[in-house]
Amino acid sequence: MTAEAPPPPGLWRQAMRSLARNRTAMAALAVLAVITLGCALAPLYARDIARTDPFTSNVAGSIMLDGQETDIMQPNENPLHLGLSPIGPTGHTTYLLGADSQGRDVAARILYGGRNSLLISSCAAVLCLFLAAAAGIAAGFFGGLVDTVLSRLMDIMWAVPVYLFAISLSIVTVSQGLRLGPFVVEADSLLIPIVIIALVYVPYAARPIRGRVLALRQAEFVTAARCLGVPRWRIVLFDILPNVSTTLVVLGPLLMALSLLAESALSFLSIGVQAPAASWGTIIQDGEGLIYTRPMVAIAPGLAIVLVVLALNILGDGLRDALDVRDTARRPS
Amino acid sequence: MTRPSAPVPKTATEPQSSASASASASASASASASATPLLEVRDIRKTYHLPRGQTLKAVDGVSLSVMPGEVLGLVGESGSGKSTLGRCLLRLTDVSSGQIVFEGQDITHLGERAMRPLRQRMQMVFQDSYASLNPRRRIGDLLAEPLRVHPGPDGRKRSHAAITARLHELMELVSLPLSALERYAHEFSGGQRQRINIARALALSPRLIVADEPVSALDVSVQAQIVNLFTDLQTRLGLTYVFVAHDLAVVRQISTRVAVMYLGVVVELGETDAVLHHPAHPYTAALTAAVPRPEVGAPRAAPLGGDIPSPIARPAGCRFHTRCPAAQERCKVEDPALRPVSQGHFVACHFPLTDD
Repeated sequence: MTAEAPPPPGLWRQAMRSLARNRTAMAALAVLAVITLGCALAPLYARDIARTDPFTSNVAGSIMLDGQETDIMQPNENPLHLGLSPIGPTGHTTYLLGADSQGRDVAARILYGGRNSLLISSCAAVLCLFLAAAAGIAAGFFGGLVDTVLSRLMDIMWAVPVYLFAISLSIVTVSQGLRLGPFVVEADSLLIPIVIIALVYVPYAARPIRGRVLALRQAEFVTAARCLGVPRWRIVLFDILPNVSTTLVVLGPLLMALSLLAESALSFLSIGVQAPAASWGTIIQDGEGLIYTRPMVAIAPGLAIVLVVLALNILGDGLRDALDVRDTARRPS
Repeated sequence: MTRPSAPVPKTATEPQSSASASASASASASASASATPLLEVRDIRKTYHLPRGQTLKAVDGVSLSVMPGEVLGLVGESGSGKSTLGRCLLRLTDVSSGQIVFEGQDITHLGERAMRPLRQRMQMVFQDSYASLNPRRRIGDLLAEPLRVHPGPDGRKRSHAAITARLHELMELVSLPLSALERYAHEFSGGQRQRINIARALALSPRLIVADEPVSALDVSVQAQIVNLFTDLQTRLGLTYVFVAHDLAVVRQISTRVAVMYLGVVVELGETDAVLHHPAHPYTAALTAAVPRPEVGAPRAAPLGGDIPSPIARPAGCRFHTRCPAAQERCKVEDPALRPVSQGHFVACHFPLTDD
């Protein structure tokens, strides 16, 4: 080390540089960015490109395709032309992916639904991380009774299958909303799926955090801080937290992927996002009845879910590698 | 069970008559009879309870005094309890019984908050220079932490400028460039990191520093530099050290007095020269004989057989009798107490060695 050398960049910057060199992770990030941007621009798409209103029923309407007026609900292609099916993928900007059973533009609904799906899953992941970090750090650092109470509570939650747990909670809250004294949450509020999904995944995130903190508590630099008379809250904040932040960052995308799947499942079961609002889960449900005639209604949002979940997992792996580089390879022997 | 309450010079007194050996340095020749010890421990014990009802007595009844300005070397093999003792001295590990008195105040049962102001005057340097520095914080941030937590000499929170000035002083004290403050622990060599650890321990201008094997993880050439730094700082700042080590050469260089530990007790205690050149305990004699000598053809002493016994199942009687070349029947039954062989030189042995 020489005195003239410039101070090194921060550890986070080093990790981000390492992540930027990871092409797979960058591709995943690009996919996520494109999908997020598309969903953010959903109103523009609906108004200027598709020129449809994806939230009102349009079973009696018609659209102009190649100069021809075409009904949105089309007779089925059985010999007697019995029954009606919504229009399939048109290959035009309007009704690009066809219509659902209500005659609404599926493509526009997928973009709108993506807003809810992404918003709920990211908020749930952040809330879950926050709760899990608090629980994991408290249990790991203070140990004793705090640890026993928190860990047993987590075990109890863990004993209930995640989806069963989420479904039970959702059914109760979705039917009545939630009233806790002055706090009133409407039954159709997005807060309900966010909080429920965050809660059910807390044990899964808290356990690795607790393990990490248990190890850190024994670390000599924590003893050194105690020896210096550093108060415990400062040790938690400045010695423990920065060392679990990598764990938190790696868990983030993975939790978001899990939350997205959970949200879709709840919405598919009509106990997540409530009509007329859309999410990828509700659109799949709409498509369920059309699966033989208009499979695209269910397949398209399904594909969106798969893409986002895959990209999040790849990004999570990339983050883990990028952050591990400093922890292991650069640790002097 | 009686023990002298005041330093008793000259005449030999039994410092302890308990079954386990313990040492009192209050009769140390180096300290004048009127001086009060900076740190005094009385019959401290640290027992760990293991599964299946076993107990591990890491420290099994140690009494010591550390006089202001002296360097007390604690030597012993791995498992002798010297590191545990060091941590107990600073209340980083709670003792199972006994008493710790710092600057005349009993600190044995003080809580974290009550200990905090005292921490300014007692510090520790750890063995693992990497593990004792938070890898995610810059060195300047690490060194500033004690200065942010404790009030300045005027009793008020230190200003940013005062902290920066102090950091620069500390860097100068341990001979590191100021640019080191911007860096992370992993960017330094072992010796540099140990300098950083020393700087952090010095940040609050303590009186006592417990150094827990601060050089044993370093290269020999670097060891010498760090030991010299310790010595240099001691004379410049008037520090008092408890210096834990297993390397006799290091201890000989830095210590004014030496306490030799074996299986949780002090078996010999005295002036460095007396203990290392005229050892009275067969264990100390074996340790000193095992130090390689640089002369060509120097005779090598027969090494001590076997390993240190497990502190979970320590031998009855004298705990050294299983490896002692001079052990007799009495040693298997009766645990020797620490008693003086000459002024300020104590040994826990039924048959102490004499110089002839």
